[in-house]
Amino acid sequence: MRIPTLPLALAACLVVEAAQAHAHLEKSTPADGSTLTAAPATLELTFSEPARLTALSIRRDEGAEQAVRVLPTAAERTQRVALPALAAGTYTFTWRALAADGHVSSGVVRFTIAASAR
Amino acid sequence: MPPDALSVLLRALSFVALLQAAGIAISVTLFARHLAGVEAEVRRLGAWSVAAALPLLSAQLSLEPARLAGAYAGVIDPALERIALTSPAAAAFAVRVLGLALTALGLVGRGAPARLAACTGSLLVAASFALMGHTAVHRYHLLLGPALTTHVLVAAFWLGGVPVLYLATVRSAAGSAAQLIAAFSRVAVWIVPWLAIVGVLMAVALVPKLAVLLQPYGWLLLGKVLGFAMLMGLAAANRSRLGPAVALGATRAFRRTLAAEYVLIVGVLAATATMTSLYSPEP
Repeated sequence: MRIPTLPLALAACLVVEAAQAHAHLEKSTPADGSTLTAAPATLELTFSEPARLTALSIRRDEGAEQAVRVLPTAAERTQRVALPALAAGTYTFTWRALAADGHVSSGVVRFTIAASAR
Repeated sequence: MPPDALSVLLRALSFVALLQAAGIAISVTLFARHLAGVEAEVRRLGAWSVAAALPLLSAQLSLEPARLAGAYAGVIDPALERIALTSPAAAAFAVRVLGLALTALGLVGRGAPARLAACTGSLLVAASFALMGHTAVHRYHLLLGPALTTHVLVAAFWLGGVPVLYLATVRSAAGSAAQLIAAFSRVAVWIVPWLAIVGVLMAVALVPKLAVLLQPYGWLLLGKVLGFAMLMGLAAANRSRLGPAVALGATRAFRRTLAAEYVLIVGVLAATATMTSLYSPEP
């Protein structure tokens, strides 16, 4: 019996990769790239699978990055983090999360609070 | 170097050392009577592979808090250390260390107990890969776990077998080396296809969609497929022409293809480490 090598090779390699996937960000609130008229009280990150938020930092405009110290401790699909009072500006949130499968994923969420926001 | 990049490097190196240690132990167990003249050297190489794997695995686990933080400062964060030590990565580390310990016993010992230790150790090393990733959390994990273990075990057999065959062609008489090559080929022809067959079965269960081929994950995957196809070509050439020629003293071409196989396998493992550390199969 002749075994079709290339299709099987593709499938074989797919196996090892698919067996070790990550939690990726499906959506955030505020949404990435959005402009807000009011400062949000929380940041909500919804992942493709339950994940534990292990790091979150905030940077306003070109300022210094500041770590958010208090993070949820449970692994959930949606993670909610209380935010300090945010002034107008463009914010960059850099996150890291650990999925139940043991892999670490990371990403960035950016949004702008309009100058007229209170 | 960012923590993620260092983690990928350590992971790739640990994959090579782990699979080589396990594979050499498998070769010693299966082909002991064909290792005349090189057995001691092969066992030493296996032991060195175990010795190389342990600090690589330890460094990789130690780096996990830094990966969780996204910065090296994470390694001194007690909260992140706790998370790392209770993660699937830590479980995989523990099983790998146990597997390596048994493998080492199998490599330094003799007789049935040593062979049992070598087999058990190699099996644990392979099974540790099923403790992380989607295989571990999938609803069919009781089927996927053994499938992935089989996949890794066959890869270990191949990677560990290459240096064993190489040493045999350098140190042993042509006749002895040819017998080892023939024995290895008789086993390989049956088990290497399982590397792909198991892959097909698992792909049906785990692969979401082919759109990933248009992303970095997919590019690395296609690179791996190409590497794997080249490996099969080299293996076929070794089995049909170059391996049998060793009996006549023609070893240079065979050793060259063995070296190429080793480099390709290491490349495939490096791609695997990169993909599974940094990217996702979801488009």
